[in-house]
Amino acid sequence: MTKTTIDYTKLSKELDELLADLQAGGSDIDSSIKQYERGMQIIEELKTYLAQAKNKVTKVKSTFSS
Amino acid sequence: MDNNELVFSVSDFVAVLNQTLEYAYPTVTIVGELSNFRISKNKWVYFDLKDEYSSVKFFGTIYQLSGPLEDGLTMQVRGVPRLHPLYGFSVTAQSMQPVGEGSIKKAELLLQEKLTKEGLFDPSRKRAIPYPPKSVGLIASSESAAYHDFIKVLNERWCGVDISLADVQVQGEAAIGQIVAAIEHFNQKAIPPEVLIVTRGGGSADDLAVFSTEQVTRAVAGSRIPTIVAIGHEIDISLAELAADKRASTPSNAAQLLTPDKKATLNQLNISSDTLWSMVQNIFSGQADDLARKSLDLGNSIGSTLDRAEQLLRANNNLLEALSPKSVLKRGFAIIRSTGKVVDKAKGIAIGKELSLELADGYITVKTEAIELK
Repeated sequence: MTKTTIDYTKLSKELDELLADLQAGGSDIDSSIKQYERGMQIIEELKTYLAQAKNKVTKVKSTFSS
Repeated sequence: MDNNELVFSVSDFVAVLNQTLEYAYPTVTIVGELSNFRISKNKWVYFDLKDEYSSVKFFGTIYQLSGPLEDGLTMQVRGVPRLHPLYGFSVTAQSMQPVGEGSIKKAELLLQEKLTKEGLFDPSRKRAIPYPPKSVGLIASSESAAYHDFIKVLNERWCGVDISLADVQVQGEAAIGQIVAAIEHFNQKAIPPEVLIVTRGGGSADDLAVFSTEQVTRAVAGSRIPTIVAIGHEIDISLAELAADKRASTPSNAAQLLTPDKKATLNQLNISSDTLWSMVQNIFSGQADDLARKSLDLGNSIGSTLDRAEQLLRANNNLLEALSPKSVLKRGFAIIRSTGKVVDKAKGIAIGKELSLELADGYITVKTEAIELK
């Protein structure tokens, strides 16, 4: 089943931080590989979310008559 | 005097007249110029509406005011006509609002001045809008173009947003209370939406007046949930928009301000994917360069150590050769032996003694003829 209930903002922030970290160049080979794999995983999740999630409109039951 | 004509006491006459009025005109709506406007004890409101020929007295409370008023405004007042037993005829106002573009504008300016002094429009009050939000409280008329435009643009741009729609009237007298109640409804929820959108399309000054009333403007300013207000088209700016955390020029613009563009975001994700790959590649090639450099350094280091050792060996060899007796013989010296033992002193050698001389290229046997000591 496709996961469409991800926290977009949280994942997007994690990706930005990961890219900035790699850009800074302090990572060794082993952690770079782990960061690369995690980054690609986030990108795939975000793409799936954008392709499959829908907006949902629910009408509030109150009538708001004054 | 006609005997059939009824004769009333004063009180009976007032009561009959009020009954007749209540039957014929339970409420009346009157438009006229505001005059003698005054507020008593910060609660009661007295004023007249007049035209060229007539003037009618009104009475009401400040709760029915849409904002501060001043004489000269054209007002539309709905109320109950009544003959007071002591103070005469007046209309008890139930609602009142300025009408006509000039009066609406003037009333708005008065209210804007008042609310500005209170700091309702202060930029320091503006809060950030979650971007993109997971949930939205939408206050609009479900039948309006504004609602459909907002949803259409939101669906085109983004996904996964939970929208709770409070379906309200967006013009007319009832709209004020409904919009205020909808804002309160969302604010009182245990899990409120992340952002409130109040929207409607453009219209005449009369149509849009609701969004410049004191009640709606204060409700927007008082919302604990961050607000975006999008009313009408570019040129219409209501007081509710000034009080909102963010103003959108149109309902579509509200959806644009609220969410990123899905297509642009997907492109950006592809770019991020490429960037990620090239950054890891860079790290790998950097490491490979580093290894190659170290390998070269190692080779150079060993090479120079060996060179040094070879040079030392060669020098030692030369020294050894220079010090060798054989080398001395080459320079013309000879080793003298007597019965196999090296002779290094003249003293002790007997005359006639046979000695063996070793030269560089061979041996000579000689006989001692004379000895002279130094």
